[in-house]
Amino acid sequence: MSVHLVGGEMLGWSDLDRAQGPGPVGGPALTGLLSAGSGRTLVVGPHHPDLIDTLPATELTVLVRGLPDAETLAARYADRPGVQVCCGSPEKLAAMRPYDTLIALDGLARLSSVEGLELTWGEAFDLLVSVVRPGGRLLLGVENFLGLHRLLALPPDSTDSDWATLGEYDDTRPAGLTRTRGRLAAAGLRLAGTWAAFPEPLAPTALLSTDLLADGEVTGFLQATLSPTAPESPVLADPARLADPVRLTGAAIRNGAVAELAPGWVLLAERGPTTDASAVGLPAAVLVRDGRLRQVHRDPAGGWRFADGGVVPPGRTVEELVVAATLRRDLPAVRTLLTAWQAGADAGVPADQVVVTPAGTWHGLADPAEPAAALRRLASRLADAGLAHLWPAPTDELAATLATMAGREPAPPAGDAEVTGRQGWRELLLDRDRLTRELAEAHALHQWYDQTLTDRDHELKRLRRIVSLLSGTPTARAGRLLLATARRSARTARSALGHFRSPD
Amino acid sequence: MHHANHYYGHSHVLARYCGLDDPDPLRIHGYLQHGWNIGDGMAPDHEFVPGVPLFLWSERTRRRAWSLGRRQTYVVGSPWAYLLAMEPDGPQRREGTIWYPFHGWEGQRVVGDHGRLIDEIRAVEPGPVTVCLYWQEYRSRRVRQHYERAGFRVVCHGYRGGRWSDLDPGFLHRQLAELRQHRRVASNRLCSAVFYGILAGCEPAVYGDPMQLAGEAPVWGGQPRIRRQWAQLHGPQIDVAVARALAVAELGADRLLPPAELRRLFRWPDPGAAVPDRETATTRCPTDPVRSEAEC
Repeated sequence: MSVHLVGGEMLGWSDLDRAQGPGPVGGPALTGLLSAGSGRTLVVGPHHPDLIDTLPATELTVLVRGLPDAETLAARYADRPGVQVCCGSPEKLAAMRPYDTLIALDGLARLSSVEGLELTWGEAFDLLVSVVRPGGRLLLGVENFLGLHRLLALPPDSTDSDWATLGEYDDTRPAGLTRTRGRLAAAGLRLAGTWAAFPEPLAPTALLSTDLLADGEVTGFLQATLSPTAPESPVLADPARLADPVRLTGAAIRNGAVAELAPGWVLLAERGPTTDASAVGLPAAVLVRDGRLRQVHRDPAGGWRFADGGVVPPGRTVEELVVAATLRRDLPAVRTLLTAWQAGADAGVPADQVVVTPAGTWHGLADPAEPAAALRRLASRLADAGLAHLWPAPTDELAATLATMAGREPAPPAGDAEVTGRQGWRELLLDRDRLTRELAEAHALHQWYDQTLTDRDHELKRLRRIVSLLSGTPTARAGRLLLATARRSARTARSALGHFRSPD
Repeated sequence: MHHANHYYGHSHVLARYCGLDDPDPLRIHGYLQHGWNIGDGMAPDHEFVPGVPLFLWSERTRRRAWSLGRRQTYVVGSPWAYLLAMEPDGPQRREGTIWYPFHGWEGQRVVGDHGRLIDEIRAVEPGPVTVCLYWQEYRSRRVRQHYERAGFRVVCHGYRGGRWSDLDPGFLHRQLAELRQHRRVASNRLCSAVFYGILAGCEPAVYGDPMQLAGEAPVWGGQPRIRRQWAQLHGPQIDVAVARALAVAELGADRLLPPAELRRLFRWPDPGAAVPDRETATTRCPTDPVRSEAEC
């Protein structure tokens, strides 16, 4: 297969190899939405070839701007006669025959070539919409510049691909989810589905429909889903992070703003009669958890179900319930929760991965590990959330305190090798303040011990004198008593005399 | 951490509850509330060391302490509630009233008319009356005879303990034994003893001249506030169910910790483990509550 050069191609440029930019959009979660593609399909922008592989296209066109990428793809699909690889500027699309499906999961920012026109978001969008035939579909990725991934990040370093990036200053780009949807509608598209992408728009591991995110009954499931189960590398290893974004994500869920603060969105729109995602069989959620792909669908009878038929449990996570009870200082409730958790089948599942339904059933949503590790993780997350002060125990003993409350024998502390929490600058400042306070307290305690020791020493001396006076033969005792009385009298007399001689 | 932790044998009761050496308790790493109060749970002259936790009786006291700037506060319930949990009530016959005239503490003097108080007690109490005096008043022959001449039985639960000296592990046990012999508990001020009595199954009453300490300055609102806030517990006849609910809350009887948790909180070892942290103190004479062991 040869690459079809449409003009404006960049000869030495690659979006796929990550050397000159952030790399293509990809990840197995997105494959769950690609079944929306059918018929004559166009993929524009840098997409990981694994995504393109899954497209059920008999007539598939891929447009990239870098010639090396085009050649890589052409080689990959050499034995697929229905695939055509184009290379060049997107404005050349206007001359092409309309498509049944247009896929732009990377968004519109990396379409323009340095050799062609620098299209604004609005211009690129109008161009893409123009090549979707009536009744055809558009699957569009949109990064949220107010997303959770950016709120806690320092300005990213420029890459070679940022030769004219307007970003959030592009006033043709609709700001926020609501305006984006409005822009699609204004272009004559009917929205068939919106998924929020976490934790990064280019590599989402969770795609959650806004309907699912808006369901207040399943906040526990959402918390568990958007909280990583595996220990992550410390955030400080990534200098762009100010804090662990997981906690902010949790706050966004609790405050009903998680859809608006998602790192990105994937929108499915259709030029033609109204459909919805379920009508085209698309899932309400696609999740990559512990290396497995899971899908969630709306249950026609109400609620949500996993693809294997299991019910998505309503309710809140054990961690949320523990935090709420701790803030209420309802220690009996904390004790009951911890005991039930640690006495049950989910003792090894992290507390942020166990949902308790209103009916009182418990659902572990992650693979179990050692219960002691789960307790350490909870203690670490409580400390990172700034809640350690609610416990009268040093922070490094909180896990043992929780274990005791749960009726377990505390396990020995974990070694430094075990990373139970993510450390960002916020966590670092919290630790610094806590250690400053603990040091001041230790100094005060040291002073108290010192004073107590001095008092006890004086008391001991006094008692030893008494013992000495009262020990020995009666004659010796009388002699010592007499001597002590004489010394005391002499001291008193000297003191009185001194006072008399210096009247001031 | 503070000598008041051992007052009234509190630390002894808790040590026994934790399965540890009852007569010779370990150091509690924190300040243990030692009496019902309407402030932060600690005595007004209590000296705090930053970072040392406060172990308080009730959630209301903890909230109040927090609002007064106290941190690292933790509700553990009162030692009295632990004692009751360990000593279930028996079927003994209860009779009469045990009456606790308001008393001062060491170095304080109560100003009031004991004669008028005796008249009020006689007018209200239908059965035999036991008057329980604080050890200072009990040692005063004049005060003791005042009540004895009125026909009242006069007792003293003992000496609450000094600075790590003359501790009395049996104090609360004697108080419990006395309370469980009486149908009613009464005082002229709402105080720990009244709450203890309620929790021990007595009908409460608070009436009569509340008396004054010499130079008493109302702290945290003083008696007027107590009468306003706990109005339901004042009067010669009180709704027992209401009183019990209030006593359970004020004494933290609904907030008791399991022994293992209490041991961890106090940094006490497991039973049978090596004892690293015993406090040096002397105890009282086991036969005479107001004499020291050396005087026995």
